[in-house]
Order: sequence, then structure tokens, then C-alpha cells
Amino acid sequence: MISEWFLNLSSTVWVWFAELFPTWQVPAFLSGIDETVNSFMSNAAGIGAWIDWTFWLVCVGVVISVWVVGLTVKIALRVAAYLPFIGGAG
Amino acid sequence: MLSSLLLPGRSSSPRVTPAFGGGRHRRRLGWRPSAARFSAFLRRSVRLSAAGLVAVVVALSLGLGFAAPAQAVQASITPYLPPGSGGALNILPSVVIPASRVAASSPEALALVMSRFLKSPEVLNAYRAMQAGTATTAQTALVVVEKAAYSVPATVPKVLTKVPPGAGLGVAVGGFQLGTMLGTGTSRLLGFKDEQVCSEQNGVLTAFASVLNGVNCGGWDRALEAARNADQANSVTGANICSPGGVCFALLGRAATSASEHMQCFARKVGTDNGFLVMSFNGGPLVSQGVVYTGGGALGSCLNAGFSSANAATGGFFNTSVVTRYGVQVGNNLVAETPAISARANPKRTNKAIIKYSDGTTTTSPSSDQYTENDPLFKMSPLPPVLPGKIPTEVKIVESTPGLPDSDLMVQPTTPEYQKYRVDYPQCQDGACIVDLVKMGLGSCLNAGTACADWFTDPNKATNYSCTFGGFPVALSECTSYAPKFKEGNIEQGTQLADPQTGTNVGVKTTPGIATDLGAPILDPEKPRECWPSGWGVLNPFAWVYKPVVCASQAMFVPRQSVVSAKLQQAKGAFSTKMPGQLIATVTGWTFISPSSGCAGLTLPLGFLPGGKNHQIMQACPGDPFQTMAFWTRLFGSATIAILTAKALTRYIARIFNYDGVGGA
Repeated sequence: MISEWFLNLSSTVWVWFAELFPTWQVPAFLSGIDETVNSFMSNAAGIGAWIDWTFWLVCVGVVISVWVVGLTVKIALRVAAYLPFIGGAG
Repeated sequence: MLSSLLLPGRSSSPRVTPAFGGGRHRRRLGWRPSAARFSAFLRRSVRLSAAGLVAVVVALSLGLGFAAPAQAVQASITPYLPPGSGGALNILPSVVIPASRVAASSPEALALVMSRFLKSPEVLNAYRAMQAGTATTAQTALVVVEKAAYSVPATVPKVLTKVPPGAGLGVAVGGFQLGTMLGTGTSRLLGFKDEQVCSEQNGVLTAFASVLNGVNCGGWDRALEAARNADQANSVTGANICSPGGVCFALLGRAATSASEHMQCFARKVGTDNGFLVMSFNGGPLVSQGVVYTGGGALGSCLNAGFSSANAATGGFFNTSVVTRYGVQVGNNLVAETPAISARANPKRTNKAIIKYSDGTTTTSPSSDQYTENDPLFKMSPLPPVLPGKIPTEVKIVESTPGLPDSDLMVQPTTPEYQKYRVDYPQCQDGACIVDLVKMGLGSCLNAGTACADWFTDPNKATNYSCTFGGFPVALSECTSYAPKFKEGNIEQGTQLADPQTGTNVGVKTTPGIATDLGAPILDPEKPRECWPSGWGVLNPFAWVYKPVVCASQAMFVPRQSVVSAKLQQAKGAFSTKMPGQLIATVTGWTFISPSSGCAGLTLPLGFLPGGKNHQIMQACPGDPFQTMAFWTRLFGSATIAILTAKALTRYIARIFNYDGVGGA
């Protein structure tokens, strides 16, 4: 009984909150975005004989990963520079 | 004083001590007795009492729920039903309820034991009659057998080894009494199927033996006159003798008139033949002793002849302590003769038990205490413990008699079912495994409340349910005892177990209490709750506190599933036409197709032109003009990206150390 009362109260508040929003229709481009993406990916795959996408993706992935690692190390060094007896004057 | 309490301002004496209220309060407020204050006091007292009562009830519930020993409030004792429980009784030896568990809750355990044998309603009735103190001897014997089978200490009635009829003519001579203690459930445990063990207990011979060993004793006649030390008499060959003309004499029995004397009784049909008993005294020649018995009747009996008042050479009774041979003469022909037995009466004996395993090894028990034939019970040697991991194939009880070679009292092969049980369920040999009903997609029904309530009548139960024992699948029929177990109310009021063969409810409850563990199933809020104890719970004071509190708490805090579903649906629908709901619906409706790398080229969409259509360009499949170009392009592009990657890597790695590296700044 008590749980159901709270459940009913929560539901009522939630419906009241939802009614504060206006009614909204999804734009056509948004509803069809999956078709656009699928078409793009299909074309990209179609020129796989010209471009080794797998190799490209590995290279790009490695570069990004090393960049992230380098950035992390530099931030760590910069932070460590503020620590006494390690490198900073703080 | 009363008027001072009820009538304000009429205090007759300043020394009146109020029956309620504190002195400090009285001084601060200038207290005076009044009806209003008295009423307020009453209200306060009632509130405090009610609150206190609630607190006590809750405290008792919580306290008992957590502190009470499990067996005191346990909903049910899970039946330990091995595979074969719905089958023949001779499979049952594989069941052992640990003695400690049985001892902790003997009545319930025994009820369960009884429920195991519900395919035999007379056993259940016998158990109930025994509980009520109205059991007949036969019923008692049945119950004792069941108890013995489950390690409940019990004295089993005497067991009689029988001499099959036909071993001699006339009356089967009395066999030998084997009174024993089967407190360890030896026979049932080891799967005895002895065709020579039947009960002597007041005519329940067949029932006892069939329950104990699955043996039908119907073909084994009980001796009309069994005498003590009859086993020694049985060793006499030719006791029943006939003349070539068909005139027979039967040895009806022997009796010991003292520790050293045997008295034996012969009889023959009364007719025209003149039968004479011839005897040899102290090794001398056979001499005639006259007509054996000339009493009336078709066949004389020892009792008719006054068996207990016998004396040497009169009336057909002889002191065999000096007789070395005896025989029967018809006319001038000695039709039969036999040596007199030499063993003394009532010898002191011992026995021991030997378990033989499949690998040929044995374990032997220590010899029992001495006993004699005249003792009402044998001093039975306890069986040695069955070695773990081994498979008993035979159990033998060997008796030792001074002056005689050892003889086998019983040689029992264990049943194939028992041996298979030892092999298939090594983890269950202490009786700790249970038969479990498993619902597909749900798991064990034992902890699923009423989710399996209608499993037994489910037309697709063969595919929706399975039965396991010790984690191994067994036939679904093994769970037949659970037919009514999960129905509404049975869980709360008592676990109902059914006839293991038919599934019909025979009204056996195994629970004296109610579930209190935190994992106990919650009562279905969609249906009326049973908030008051019933059945065995009526006798349980704890149930009158715990059950209503639990019931009321569940009524307050456990919502109905229908209400929960309705409210959740309402909440979901609230945003269905709003931006969040529309976005969620759109995003979840997207479908992305994983492309496969290929050589089809690019699709040039020219369909928007009048008469136009899509075209494929840069096709480089085998045979296409661009195939070679595509190969070299792919190779050059990969090399380029590899070089750029290497340059980028060196740069990024060098920058970590503030050096621009090969790639430069």
C-alpha cells in the first residue's frame, strides 16, 4: 500500500514534468541519418581496392595513441615539477 | 481521594499524592488533580502502551527471526530423495539422512521419511498410528523398518532365516532366530536382497521382508513348531525319513531340557504299518525302541505328545546325550538312520560383518559380544564404515560357533542400483544432496516461490522443467513428489509432498513452522495473503508474532506487479511526444550496416537527373581496367601513410623529451 502510494505519486509528478515540454517532431535529416552514414560507409568500402583502410586505420590509431601517451607523460612531468625534491621548487 | 482525582479544586487534603504525574511537573505547573489531566494521562498511557506493544512485537519478530535456530523456524526440511525414489523400494538403500540432521528435528524428519514411501499408504498410516499410540504390531514393524533405514536408532524385530519347504517331507523344521539390531539401517543402506531373511514378528513376515529387502517371503513357510537350538537340529540329515512303501516319519522338533540335553520328537502316520525307532546308545548297535508314536490324528506332533514332559525312551522321546545313532525300522527293514548330533545345546557364539568391495578388498568389523540361541536378540556386530570412494558389492555376516567352522549368516550382494548410486553420485553419499526441480530460464524451483506452482500439470513440462540430483540430471519423474509443493499456500503453510509415483497429494506436511530467512519467497501481492498461522503453525507461538508482521509488512511495502507495470507504462508514455521521447525513439530506430571492403568502387548518384541513374566509378575488381592501377595506388598510399606515421611517431615521442626529432619542429 505504502509503496504503491509513492509509486503513484512519482508517476504523477513525472507526467506533470513531461507535460511542460512542447510536442516535437523529429527532423527528416535526423531520422534518415543512418541511411546517409550507411551510404558513406558503403562507398568507402567500395574503394577498398584503392586504399587499404585497415592499414590506414591502424596507422592513424597508433599515431593518436602515441600522441595521447606523450601528452599524458608531459602532463605528468609538468605536475611532478611542482613537487618538492623531484623537480620543482614548490 | 477519588473525589480529588475527579473533581478539580476539591482536593480535600494537601497531602494527597497523585497516582500519576511527576512531582517536578506538579511543582512547576502548580499541579492539581483534574479530570482533564487524568484523561490526558490515559491517552498518553494508551499511546505509550500501543507503541510499546508494537515495538515489542517488532523486536520479537526481528529477534526471533535472526536469533532462532534454523531448525526451529525452518520452513521445511528439504527431502533427500535419491534417484529411484519413485521406483522400486530396493533402490532406497542409497539414502542416508545424516543422523545429526535427523536428531535435530526428528518428527519432521520422520515425516519426510514417511513421505518417501507414500506409494505405500499403509506405511504412512502405520506411522500415524504409531504416533497416536494405536499402531498394531505390524504397523510398528513397518515404521521401525523405515526408521532403521534412515539411521534413526531403532530396534528391529526378530528376523528369522527360513528353511524352504521341501527340504524334507512333512513339516518344515523350525529355522533359526536371528534377532538383531539394525540401528544403522544396514540392510537398507547396503541394498540387501536376501531371500533368506524374513521377519518373525507376529505375522508381518512378508511385509517386513519386502520393505526391508524387496523380498517376497510368501514362498517361505514358517515352521509350525520352531524350537530353540533348531539350527543344530537342522544339521541332522535324514531327520524326515520314509519307508520304501511311503510311510514317513517326521522329526518334528527338538528341545533342550537342560544345557546338555536334547529331546527330540518323532511322529508318523498311524496306519497298518508298524514303525519302530531304533537307536544306538553310546555307540552300541542299533536296538529297537518300539513304536515311535501311536497317538491319534493324522500326524502326530510333539505338542500332542507332551513334548515338555519327555523322558528317555518313553512316548517317543529320548535323551540324546547318550544316543549316537538312530533310525526307523519298518518290519524288518531299516528304512533310514542318522547320526545323533554331537554339538552341545545353546552354544556361545559371536558374529562379525564383512564388506567386500568391487576391487576385491574388504573391511571387517570387530567380533560382536557373545550370545546364545536362547538370547532374545543377537549381539550384532556393527557394520564397518563403508570406505569412501569404494563400491561395496557384498556384505556378509559370519557367525563363529566354538567347535564348528564359521558359517555365513547372511551373504548379501548389494543391489545394482546402490552400486550405480555410489558411482554416479559420490558427492551425495552423506545424504547431503537433494532432488531439485529446475525450470528452464529460471533455475531451481526450490527458491522460486510459486513460479513452479503448476509444473506438474504443465503439458510441456518435459521441455520446460528438468529434475536434478546432486547437480546431475535425472528423470523428471524423480520430482513427482514435488507435484503440489510450489502451489500457493503450500509454501507458507507446509511443504506438500506427493505420492512419488502418482503425484497425488496425500496430505503430508513436513513443516511445523514458517520461513523466516531473508531469501524466503514473498507472498504474491496479487492474491489474498494468508496472514495467520495454520496447520502445524497454529501450535507454534512464534508463528503468531512473526507471520502477521511479515504479512502486514509485505502488504505495505511490496507493490502489486500490475500496479508497477501500469505506472511504468504511464511514465514511459509521458515523454513519447516530447523531444526526449522522440529523440530516444529516433536514435533507437537507427540501423547501421557494417560495410564489407571490396572493389565495387564509388556510387555516383545521378538518379536526380531526368532519365538518370546511379553509376559506379573506380571499379577495380579482377578484370576491370583499374585493377592494376588500384593495386599500385593502394601500395603507394600505404607506403605513404606508413612514412607519415613513422615521422609523426618520432615527433611525438621526441616531444615528450622536448626534442623535435626527425620530424623537426
